[in-house]
Amino acid sequence: MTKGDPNYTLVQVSVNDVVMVFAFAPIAGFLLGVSDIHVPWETLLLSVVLYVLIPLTLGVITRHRLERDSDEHKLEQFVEKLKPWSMVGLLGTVVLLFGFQAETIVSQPFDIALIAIPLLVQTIGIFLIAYLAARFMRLPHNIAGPASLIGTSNFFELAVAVAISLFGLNSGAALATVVGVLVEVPIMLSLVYVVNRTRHWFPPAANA
Amino acid sequence: MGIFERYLSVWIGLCIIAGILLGNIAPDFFETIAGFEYAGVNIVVAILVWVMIYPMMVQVDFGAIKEVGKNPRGLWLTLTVNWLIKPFTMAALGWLFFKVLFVPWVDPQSASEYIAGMILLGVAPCTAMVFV
Repeated sequence: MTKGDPNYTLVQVSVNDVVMVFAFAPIAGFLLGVSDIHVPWETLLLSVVLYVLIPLTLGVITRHRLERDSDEHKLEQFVEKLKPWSMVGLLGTVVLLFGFQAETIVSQPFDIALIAIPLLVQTIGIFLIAYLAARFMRLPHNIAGPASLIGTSNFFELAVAVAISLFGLNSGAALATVVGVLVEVPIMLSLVYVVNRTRHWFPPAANA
Repeated sequence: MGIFERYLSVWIGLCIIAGILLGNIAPDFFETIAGFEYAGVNIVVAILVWVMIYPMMVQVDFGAIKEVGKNPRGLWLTLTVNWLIKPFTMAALGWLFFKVLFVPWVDPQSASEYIAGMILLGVAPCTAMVFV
């Protein structure tokens, strides 16, 4: 959407996914601990294995198999075919989450708005940091745009899943992560617009 | 990006309404689903989450990682933001809003849970390339 360099974006996302396998549990555990929220380490590690390591391994195996068939389009077609399922999974989870929390929410709908405020501040703030840093570093626009957006957006599916396993389906934590989904989409779309309007801030793409 | 993704907020909004309605009309149904649990992991949720995450993981390309050397600066930027800045600002904002600013409106137990949710959001970096 921002005319970014697709291969480079793929590299970024892939590296970040690999880092996540190792960094997610320690950082999450540390920050929760600092906030006086105690979670069992086993559950945290189990979530990482269950929701990062296993899908990642399966994904890599699938990719490898499809690539070996030498037909390049097969992989693309497969990915395209899978994409809607990702949404189905997300929407299904949302229905369940809110089904479980129905009574809590009806009694305190105001909380959703309260959760949305700091999430908004965070998302916009992080984008500004990343985008201005990219400008300062004089990165070409087709790298700066995707890099800042990757930095800004969250893997909310994982957050939702981990929150459910750690705190339960009808917990406030699960509710907060779902509000995250709600906030993220419109903000990201407007940031894409900002990125496209500020192309002239950056040096033209260097053809590597 | 298809109509599905562009209006994701709308779909999510509708699912939220559907969930709340169903949860009030048929609480037994949701209680039954909540019962399908093994070692703290809800089976139905786990399956849905896999359906959600697996398509993204197929896009991860280890072969592409070798290309990192070409332009490492953009990568340093995302790595720094994702792992050194974002999780910590998120935790700090969670604390600031729910332990200081919103104290009159939120009970302490819920506040901690909301902070926990925010922290988990902050630590999970983007894997979807929907927007990029």
